[in-house]
Amino acid sequence: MSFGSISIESHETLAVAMNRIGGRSNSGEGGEDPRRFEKRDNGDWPVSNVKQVASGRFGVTINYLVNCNELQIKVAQGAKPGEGGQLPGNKVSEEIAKVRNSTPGVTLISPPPHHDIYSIEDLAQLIFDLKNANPTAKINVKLVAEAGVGTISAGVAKAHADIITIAGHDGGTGASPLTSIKHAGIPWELGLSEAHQTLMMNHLRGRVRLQTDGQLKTGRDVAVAALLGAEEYGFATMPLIAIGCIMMRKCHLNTCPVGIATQNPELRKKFRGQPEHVINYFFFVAEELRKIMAELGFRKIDEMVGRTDMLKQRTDIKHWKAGKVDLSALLHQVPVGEDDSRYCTQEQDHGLDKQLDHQLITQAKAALEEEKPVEISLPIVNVNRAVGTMLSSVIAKKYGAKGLADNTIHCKFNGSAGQSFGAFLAPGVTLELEGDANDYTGKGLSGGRLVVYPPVESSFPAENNILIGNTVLYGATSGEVFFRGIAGERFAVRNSGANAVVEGVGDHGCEYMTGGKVIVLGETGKNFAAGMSGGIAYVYDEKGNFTANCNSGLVDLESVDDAEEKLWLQKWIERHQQYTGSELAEKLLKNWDDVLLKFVKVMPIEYRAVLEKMEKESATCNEKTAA
Amino acid sequence: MGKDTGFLEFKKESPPLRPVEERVRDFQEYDTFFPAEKLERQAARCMDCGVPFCHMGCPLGNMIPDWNDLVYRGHWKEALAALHSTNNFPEFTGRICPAPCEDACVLNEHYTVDEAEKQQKVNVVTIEEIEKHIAEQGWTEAWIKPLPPEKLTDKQIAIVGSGPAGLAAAQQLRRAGHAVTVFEKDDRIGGLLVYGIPDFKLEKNVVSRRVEQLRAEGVEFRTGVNVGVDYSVEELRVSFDAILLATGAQHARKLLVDGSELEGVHYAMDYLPQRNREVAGDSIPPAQKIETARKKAVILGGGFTAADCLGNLNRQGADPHIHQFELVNMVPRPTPVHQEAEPDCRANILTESISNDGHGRVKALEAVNVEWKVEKSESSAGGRMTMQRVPDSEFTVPADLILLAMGFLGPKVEGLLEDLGVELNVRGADKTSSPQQLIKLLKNAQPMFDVFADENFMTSEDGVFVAGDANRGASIVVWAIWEGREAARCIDKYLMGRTSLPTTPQAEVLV
Repeated sequence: MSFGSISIESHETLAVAMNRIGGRSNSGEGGEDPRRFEKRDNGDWPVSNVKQVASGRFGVTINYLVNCNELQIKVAQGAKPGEGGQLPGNKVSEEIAKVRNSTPGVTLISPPPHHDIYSIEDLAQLIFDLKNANPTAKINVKLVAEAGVGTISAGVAKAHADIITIAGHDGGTGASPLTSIKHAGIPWELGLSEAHQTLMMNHLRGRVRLQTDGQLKTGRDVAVAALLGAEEYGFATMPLIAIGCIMMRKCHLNTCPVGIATQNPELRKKFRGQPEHVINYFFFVAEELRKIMAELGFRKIDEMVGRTDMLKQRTDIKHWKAGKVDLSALLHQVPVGEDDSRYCTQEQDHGLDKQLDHQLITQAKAALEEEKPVEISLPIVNVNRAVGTMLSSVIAKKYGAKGLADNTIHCKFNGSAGQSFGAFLAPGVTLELEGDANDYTGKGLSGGRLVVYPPVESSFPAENNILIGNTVLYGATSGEVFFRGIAGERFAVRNSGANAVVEGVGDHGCEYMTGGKVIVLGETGKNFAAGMSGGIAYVYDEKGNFTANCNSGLVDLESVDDAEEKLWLQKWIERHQQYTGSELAEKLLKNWDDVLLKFVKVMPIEYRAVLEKMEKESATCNEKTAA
Repeated sequence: MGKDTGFLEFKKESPPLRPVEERVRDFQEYDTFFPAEKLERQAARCMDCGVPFCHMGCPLGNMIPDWNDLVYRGHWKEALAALHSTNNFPEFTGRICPAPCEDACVLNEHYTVDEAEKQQKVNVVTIEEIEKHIAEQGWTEAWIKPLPPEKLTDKQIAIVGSGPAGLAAAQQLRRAGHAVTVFEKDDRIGGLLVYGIPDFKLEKNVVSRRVEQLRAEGVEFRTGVNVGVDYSVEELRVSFDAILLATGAQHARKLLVDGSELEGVHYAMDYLPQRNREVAGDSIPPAQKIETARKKAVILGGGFTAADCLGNLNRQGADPHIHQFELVNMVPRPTPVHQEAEPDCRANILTESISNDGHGRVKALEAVNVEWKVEKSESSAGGRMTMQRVPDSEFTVPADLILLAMGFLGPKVEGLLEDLGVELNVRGADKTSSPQQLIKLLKNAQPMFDVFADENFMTSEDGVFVAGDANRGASIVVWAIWEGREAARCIDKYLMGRTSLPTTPQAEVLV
């Protein structure tokens, strides 16, 4: 339940409660206000200690990632399987837009897949990226219960997830269409037992913790979950009911009368929940669980995990359909080998010790401790993945969201960068790469600067060749990038605030973008601006074929008319030329007046309406102050 | 559901009552009507809650969000159909029901935070108003027509008592195709609806027009027949395949103090029906007439019956400083009639005695304040309430008319129930009692009791069913209608082997 789908009061109440009892609450995919990372004067700690990284990557900055002890990759959600989330525009208030790094009033759509997870190897890369972003956090991958989740779990375990969550079909989601909720997904029991047994059979079980959720209600549910193989248990619906939810089913309308699933300040005043209500509920759950454990003869949960021999199928249900149900597959006991375990007994080896960033951190000591500018120069090869991420983690832990002053740490690399080059790069860090880079360059960019250009001695025209990989700048929130070359598919997908200059992109450029400005100095592939509800793109349409390549579902195509805008565009192309030595940029600037006429401005309609409204409001505000 | 944001945009509004000075001069209803547009806006406030607590609050399971939505959109005829699917007599409940639906409404129970505002139902959806308007629209537009059954069975059913429970059962059973005969000991049909509830709460033409519908549907009414006296139980059992007892709970709690036999002390149920008759134009023989003009009255009791007495007394020109005393720690519930006089309403008052004026008539009432405490008890988990007199708090109130509205213990047992031999539940006893045992017990004690019935509303006698206050003790009209409908369903099933008469979610919980 993200902040956004529920009110800040309910979200913080849950967090405070869970932090008090040694549990963890989940941020949901809504990002989090940094004010919550500090304890309050009365000792309450409203931070969400599980930070979710969902397909929308809302509010996922380096500062967000370092303030927790678990990072959860939400591959999917049990209550609306196979789909992304939707937060209707009327629920995107000022606060929510700020926390999600978006614009108030603009609908927020999470794409169904993560655009950096197209294979299990991609997932391993994301796990690695997040582990670099917060080396002390556990990485949790949330999967949906479905046939085949066992195989997926095995892959996820091999991909070094620390925790695997199996989510069932019941449970809450604040704003989903009925077709997503009803008759979709399967119960957590089925997915959990399949995952547990598959991991056992592949001798992987000891390397991960299994978590499950899906409208767990009672201590008995927890007992069954444990016996089927889970060590951790997630609750959402019940704690919300404990703080006052009355199942109105009006969450999507923003009219929740008890102030939980609404952003309306008048309705939020009705909220009566307290952390004590949640703690009381869990107390009862634990007490009931303890009773059952005693009856079964268990002292610790670890003894119970996977002990399906303590479960049997009921024979007292007289319904004619019940007779056809055979649960023996669920209750199957995989034999435990000598080196095997039914529960997690060893930590995953994430391979962080081999990271290039250790060198960066050592060499940047003066910057990190005294904010003095440093310059570093190193070779790079493609096994150096997530370069800059662990460094950014150190900066965020010490300096928070504001990071260091611009260009405090300047790194120059030579060679081919591995995946996720500059992922979650913090403010104050500039990574300059002479060579090329791979997929996920600039993923989650959090204020730093990336500059990439081909080796100066190369003879091919940079603007006609591919320089970086796919899904570059995925979920970037702030910062700037200058790429002297062509990017792959899905350039700047889910960008919510970074600025970019690039000399060409593949298909699906700027998909689902909600903020930031992207300048493309060459051709785009097809389906540009699909789902783009914010930010602006400027495309140099030399051949005049851009309209055919643009998905105009949410955007209008305009010319660049505003004088200020023209200057801005020119300045950024100048900077691109300065950083990368781009010959294309030089050529364009020489003919600037003619070139300007060929620029197409891609403007999202909803975004323009919101900007106009904000301008009008500030104009009337100025009038009032003037008068 | 009404409008999404209706409850945020529109405030609760009820049609104003008629001004006090005007309404105390007659016995017509003190409610007024809203224009349709205003009511549609009120209906827009309904939120169509995911968990409709109003359904559970209403014994009949009225589909409240559905007809609120239909009214909001102006589809009054469809709203009437939705309403009639669960409630036979919405024009009765729309006037006199205390609206447990409104108490349960989310806008009252959860959205309103302040306790005082909850009591006053400041934010609630005006469900009862909407129900009344839908019904009245139905009558005005002549949408309410008799629905006689298409196919008849060969079964004969006798219903004893023509109150709301008996009438609801009669309509359901007749529509299921049976021959239904309703026996009523009084001269008019309706039970407490006509003889009990004052005219200014429920005008009697409202009842008679509904009775006409039942008559047109083929229900036979036999008034002036006191079953057990004018018509023997043996004949009843021979002539009918099933019998439904709907005789109400008219055995009043007695006041056992010195002076309670004096002239001027009357039971509410001797006074109120007389008022109804007078308003209807009947003349009352002087020997029976209860004089009230300029009398100084005391009403013992704090419930609806007492309030009914108050409203009537005031309109008859009794002294407006009417005293209303309640024994337990609950101030008499304020109703519109309390605004019409200058009543002195107090709780925790125990009547000690009534004094004589020397000529066998009431002169004054002597009372004392009491305190109620919870005492730990072995038999009761929560403890027992015990009463203690507060020292030096005795007082006397001059009175020449005392009305006893202290509640009802159960149905009249002598006569019909005695002859049938049906067993009775007695509060505090482990087993049921026979009528004879209970009659003996009632000579010395005043326990509450009702007719024993199983989950199919059948008494200890095969083929004899019970519904309404006789089954559950004195209650409200909406429960009576529920009882009648559920009992009808059980009787239909008993006679035919199966039934298509509807039931309610409440039935699963209670029965």
